[in-house]
Amino acid sequence: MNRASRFTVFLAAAALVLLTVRVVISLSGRPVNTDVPGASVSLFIDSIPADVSFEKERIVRFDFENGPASDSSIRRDAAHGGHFGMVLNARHRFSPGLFIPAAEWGGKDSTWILAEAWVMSPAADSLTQAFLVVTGNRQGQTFKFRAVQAPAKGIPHGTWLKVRLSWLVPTGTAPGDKLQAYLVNDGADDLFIDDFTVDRFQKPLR
Amino acid sequence: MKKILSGERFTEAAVFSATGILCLLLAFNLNFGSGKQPGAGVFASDKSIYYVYLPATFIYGWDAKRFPDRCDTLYRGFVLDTSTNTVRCKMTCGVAVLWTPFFLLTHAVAAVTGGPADGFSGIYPYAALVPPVVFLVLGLFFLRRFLARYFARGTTWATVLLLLTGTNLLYYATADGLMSHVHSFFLFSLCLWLLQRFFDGGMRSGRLFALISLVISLAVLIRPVNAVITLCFFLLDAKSLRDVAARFRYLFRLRPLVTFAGLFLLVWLPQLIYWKYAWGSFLHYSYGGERFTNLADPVLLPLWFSPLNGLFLYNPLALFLVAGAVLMLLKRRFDGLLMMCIFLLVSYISGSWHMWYFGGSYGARPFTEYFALLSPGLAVILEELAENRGKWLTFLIRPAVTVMLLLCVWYNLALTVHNQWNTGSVWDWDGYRERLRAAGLTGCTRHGREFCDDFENISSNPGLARTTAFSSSYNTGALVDARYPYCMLFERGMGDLADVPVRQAGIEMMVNPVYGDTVNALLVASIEDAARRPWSYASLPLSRAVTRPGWNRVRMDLPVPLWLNDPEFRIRVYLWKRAPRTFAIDDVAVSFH
Repeated sequence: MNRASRFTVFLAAAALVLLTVRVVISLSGRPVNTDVPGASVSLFIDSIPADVSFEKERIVRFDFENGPASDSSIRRDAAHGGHFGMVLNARHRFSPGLFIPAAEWGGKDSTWILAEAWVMSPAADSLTQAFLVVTGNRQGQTFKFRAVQAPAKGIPHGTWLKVRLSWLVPTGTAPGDKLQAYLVNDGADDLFIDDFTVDRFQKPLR
Repeated sequence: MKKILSGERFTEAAVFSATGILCLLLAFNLNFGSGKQPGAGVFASDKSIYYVYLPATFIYGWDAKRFPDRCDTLYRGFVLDTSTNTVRCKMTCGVAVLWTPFFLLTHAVAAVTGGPADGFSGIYPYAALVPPVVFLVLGLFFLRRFLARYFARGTTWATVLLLLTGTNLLYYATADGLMSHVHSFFLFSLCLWLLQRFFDGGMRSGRLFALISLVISLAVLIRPVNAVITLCFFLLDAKSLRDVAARFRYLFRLRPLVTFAGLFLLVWLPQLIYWKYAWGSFLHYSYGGERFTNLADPVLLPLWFSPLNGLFLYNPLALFLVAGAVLMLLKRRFDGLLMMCIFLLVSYISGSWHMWYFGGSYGARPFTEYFALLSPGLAVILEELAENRGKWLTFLIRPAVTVMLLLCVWYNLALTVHNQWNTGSVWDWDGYRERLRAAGLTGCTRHGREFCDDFENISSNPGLARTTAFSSSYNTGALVDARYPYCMLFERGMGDLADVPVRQAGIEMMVNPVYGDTVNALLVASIEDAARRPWSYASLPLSRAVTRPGWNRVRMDLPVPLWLNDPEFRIRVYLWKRAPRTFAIDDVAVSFH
């Protein structure tokens, strides 16, 4: 093969290789739930810009794998991943969660909170009583409240549902403000929750 | 066996098979990946019009009432007119003719396997991804065979593969395969190859001429403006004006003329019958009010360079095609003239169409099929680079052009995968940067953003009527409807304006009072929460700013407190009309800093 041929054959091969690489990237870029076994439905309320690269840091994770608590809210039958999950009911309405002053949060402009949890209702039609809440409080007054509720229809009974909620930390947040993220059971029936995580997304320093 | 699988044919089979498989995978992922619903996307909009001829013919017997309920509403292309029980399509049926064997095969499989055999659901949307890829591969195959007559083997391979990966041809074979372009590309490539053989044989083969006539008729049936391809009959490989004259004389001899006319009529017969069925006449202009409105003043610069689907901006490889054509002209090669004629003619025709940016096009789609005709330009440049052994060329120009070509390819592949409907104005460079960011091609920090509506692009604002009667830039402005007290001009969440908090919004627009010298309306900008309570508000009486007949520039600022940079809030810019007046507006720009 002479030099001229090598040049054009290289170009042809490079074009084909680039096409292959792009197809592979495109195919592997599909969102896949790799962390969770079994069927699930994802309820995804998310406005974190997808086209901006953030540094992700896990702030809290509750997988309840430390085993049963004295108050019987941690149970084996409430597990989604691992061995244990938590039951929210009329007695235990609130899950553990994120409760920190903004000063400890270390937030900068355009910092996001992403809260995620798995929820399941062992009783029929009571999934809608589950709320995932993220709020900011200043001296006892809520200055920003967002909550996501499980949908009333379309979730087969006994299905684990992933609820997610993203929350932009307001620019004017003061160091004494409290940031909170938790799950609440707003009804009387049992509600199983598991793998509750809160992540912080912030842009890397330039 | 060894002989068959060795050498050039083996390479050809291997490369084209690999290309076909890769394109099929890409088509599947672009249409069904990431949670996309099967069906509606594959057949949506214009694509449904090209396609509906098939289910209408083979399943529903052209009975509009037998179609699935509200099928036309779902696909937003063809119209099921239940009052006359007709199926109305504005596009011609050429794509459907090419698709017939594929459709019948799919229909047979659906019937045998017991799936829905309605033409739209079940396996149909999945099977619809195959024919465009088949026509793409066949088009590349014939194009390479055509180029092989003039260029070295490596050059032909590089040309066809760069054309595939570096232009929107890939997009129209995978993401929007049911559009007409890849089918026209196949027919153009086939036509070039047949013409070459026809001229090589001294124009003596009646069979080849019949095949060429058939291919040209089909191409025109797919898209009537494809008649441009007939130029190739007169100019391709012509050495002198005497050659051109000889071809004219050949065409106007009785036998070729009857052959061409007969085949053209035969190919067009289904279309004539359809028009008679749908509109009661064998000849009909089915595009209604859509016309070539800019014939006297074609929109050329935006067609080539604008962020609103500009040819060279989204297909930078096309610069090499045109540069190659110019190089051929300089070297006094007749095909250079043909290529430049075709490029300018297609530019003129496309720039004259009322919607010169072609709706949701990805990068000037009217040119896609013509890349086959322009491909010798790229091949000439590659050959020049490959053969010339000058010192500068070896160490500087050749590596630089190689990098540029591969960047063109990577750029096109990224935009193909991340393409989104272009809703911006003609020169919306901020919107273009957003598209590059979404495709992962740039990552710089956005310190501000300008949104502009010059009303050239499609708009669905009910309070405005786009008009060509009043415009301050290009062809289109908008008339504010007097019936509504409010007219929304801009609305957006405050969370995705920039990467840093914005401090100020600036609103600028052109206003023409049209029917008087005053406009009794307020220009309002307001940042509101979910309950529509305003937290920052500014207004400007237009009667104060519009002081003379004709176009007046109006400007207003709105301060944005830091804490309102939050997706919980939305900014709305609207007109609040105190009296029912009609007036014209244009070039509404909202900028954030």
